[in-house]
Amino acid sequence: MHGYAGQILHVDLSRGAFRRIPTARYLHWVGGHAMGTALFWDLVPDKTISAFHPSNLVTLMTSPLTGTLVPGAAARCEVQGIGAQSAPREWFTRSNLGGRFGAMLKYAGWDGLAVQGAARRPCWLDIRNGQVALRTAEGLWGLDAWETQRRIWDEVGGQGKAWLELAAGAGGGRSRQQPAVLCIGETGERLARVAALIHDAGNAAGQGGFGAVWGSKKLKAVSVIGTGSVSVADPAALLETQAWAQREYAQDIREGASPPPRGMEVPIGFGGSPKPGVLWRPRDGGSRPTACVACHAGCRKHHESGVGNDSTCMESAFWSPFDLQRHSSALVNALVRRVARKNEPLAAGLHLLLGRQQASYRAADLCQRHGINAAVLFRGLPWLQALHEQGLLGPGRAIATELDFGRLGEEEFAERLLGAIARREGLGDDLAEGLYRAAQRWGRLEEDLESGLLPLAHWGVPEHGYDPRAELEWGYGSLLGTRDINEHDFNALFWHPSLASWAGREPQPPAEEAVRIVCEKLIPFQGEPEMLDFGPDNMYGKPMARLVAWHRRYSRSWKQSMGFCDWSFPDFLNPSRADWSGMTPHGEPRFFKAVTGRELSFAAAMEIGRRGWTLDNAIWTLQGRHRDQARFAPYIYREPYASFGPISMYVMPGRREGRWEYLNLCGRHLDEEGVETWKSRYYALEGWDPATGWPTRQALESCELPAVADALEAQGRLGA
Amino acid sequence: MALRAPAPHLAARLLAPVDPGRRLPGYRLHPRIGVQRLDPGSLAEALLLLSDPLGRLDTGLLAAWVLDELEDGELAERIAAVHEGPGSPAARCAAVAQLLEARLLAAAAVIGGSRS
Repeated sequence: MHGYAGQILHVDLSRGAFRRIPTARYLHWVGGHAMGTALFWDLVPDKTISAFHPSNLVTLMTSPLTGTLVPGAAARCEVQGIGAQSAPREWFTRSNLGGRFGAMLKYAGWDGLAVQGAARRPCWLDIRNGQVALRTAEGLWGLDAWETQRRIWDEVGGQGKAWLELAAGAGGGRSRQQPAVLCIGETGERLARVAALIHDAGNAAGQGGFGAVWGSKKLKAVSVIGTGSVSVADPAALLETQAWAQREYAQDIREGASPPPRGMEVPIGFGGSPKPGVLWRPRDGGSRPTACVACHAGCRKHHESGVGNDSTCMESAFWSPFDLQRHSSALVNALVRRVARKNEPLAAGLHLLLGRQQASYRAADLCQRHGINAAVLFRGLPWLQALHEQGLLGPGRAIATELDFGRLGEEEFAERLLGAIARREGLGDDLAEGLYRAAQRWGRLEEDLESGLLPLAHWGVPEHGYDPRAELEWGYGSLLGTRDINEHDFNALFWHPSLASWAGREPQPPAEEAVRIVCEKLIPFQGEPEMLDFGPDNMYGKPMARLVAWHRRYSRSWKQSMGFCDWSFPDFLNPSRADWSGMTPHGEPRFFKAVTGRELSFAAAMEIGRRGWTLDNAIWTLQGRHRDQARFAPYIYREPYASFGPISMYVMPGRREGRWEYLNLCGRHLDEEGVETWKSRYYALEGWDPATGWPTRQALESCELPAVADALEAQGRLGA
Repeated sequence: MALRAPAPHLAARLLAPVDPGRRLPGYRLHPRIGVQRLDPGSLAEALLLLSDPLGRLDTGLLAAWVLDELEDGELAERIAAVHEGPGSPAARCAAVAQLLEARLLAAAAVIGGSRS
């Protein structure tokens, strides 16, 4: 079993008991998500329980590639269970984190954790190789995520101290590394549905509200230190493949090499530009790139100041617009000062002003320390600002709060607002329940979902910045699942032409060529360019159903079960290659074989993805799902996308009068009847019952899941 | 040709934010988050957004907003000329940023001069 540690640790917090589950029992699910779903199916007989029920199971699953040297696929750790975030129903859902937690779990000899039950008193799980113990967290309860980790590092030992000697019972070994700790802040302790799991400075599993689930189990942290390694079937082949990927597909940044053309510097895909994934400008002082285990991209940063470390994506974005708004007055003051002194060059002053987003860095750190899901703040803060400006939110107003949203963007206000959420104080108590439930409490839900002021596109969770009305596969994938999928697979088709148009250049490759390249990679539906038509002809068409089916399979297999990072894979359009053809579908199976020694074709892996996705749907079906519940929020059907004026630009390929072009998709909304038609087509394609959305016996048996079909039939929920 | 120095009341308007409901629609893009709405509420905010390579602001709308909200006909005319001229959206934004920077500086000189 090259690539595997061979065992999964099951922890029963109610009884304080541990048992080892042989990984071999689940090997046909490969790892990660698919294995986690199968464990959930087996270990949670009643799928209708709430997220906070002790029997809810939270799995933390690695993949056979975790902890190896596969670039962009050695660090992900998949988190699953019934989540607390979605509304009005708590669905079985997923999240994911990077960093070094997953790799350390493997080095300690475990392929995953399955945590069930609820402790009577706060505890943390201490894993030192094979030695496992539950320890009291009475002294940690009430601490933020960073302080919690620091205390555990102090207790376990490791970096900065003497050699950490692992007992013989733990397999022996010595380490100077600090344990990898995954934990919750005060937000999770108070069962806030916006609570995340935090690891190191800024690796978070935010979606799903798993921080609250841990809080309900009185589980403060999991600490793991390992001195082992991962068995690789063919180390030479792995290194050769790594070199091949680097040589053929990574961006060549050596002196004299040709950089991507200006306007084409997109950090998406294996060959994307190695740029940090942050939305703030460089701070005063230095910084260096950091990366998850074995990653070639290094998309995060550590700063000389120690502020804002590891935070990327939405953590770096949610406070930034308001911070910039506050900077406008600083800019005015700087201008006036310049007049007075006559020696302060404005260009330098402006640059420094843009760089000094101190409040944004601090707000990101607060988000990580408290353990708050940044996506909720990213979409929630503009809504709160609008309510404030409409006179609805504030002291003595309909939504009463002492928080002065006129100070949104200031560092001190970030401390007050995020602290209120973490401690469930005043308005913070409402927001801790998530945006959907807060809006419900305030009587705003229907009106603000109708207008889109509250952009919760599906399942009561925030939409991403890739809107379902434009990027159809993103919206449909989210609607069929439980959350914003946050999978950027087809973004390259948007970014390359959009940036080129902005810079006044002809998009490269042209739409027809881009579609030709990508569609050949869409195994098992390859060779059908119509799948990549995002225009009006295919919004509700069968080819779009096949595109979404491909996407669900790929995500559930290569990404979420084998751990290929969303930022590097799939590699469709690669600007570092003359022919633009990325590594997918050749790279993924090659890496897999080098590590495991097993032949797994791209198509075979996609079939595992189909099985995992179908089993997910069987669980949702038993939870009570019906196709009628899978509806977008009203604004998706009513409001045209992107009212930014003529500059609005969301460009993707499509056909106009039979010719491929990059079409601007702004200004359209989805048609409710069209979406229903599309759903029926999708369900039929998957072998699910179009009347209900439930899997049929035939579909389940084709996935080698006859027992699942029996279980659905026994509950009267088998598709016809 | 340089714009005339703004009168004190205009200079004050150029340096102040407009009412929240009068903001100019804008946004920024980033691969990690997609589209993030960012509506400037002052000339200074518009300059900050235009100076951000990720920022997106329609220069035609900006010209109309400067005329309607700030009542600066001269500046609006210059922005409109850039908007209607040649060049990519990115190049137009860069040129307009220079105009805004100069206008803000002129306004600051008027206000700063009256304070000193």
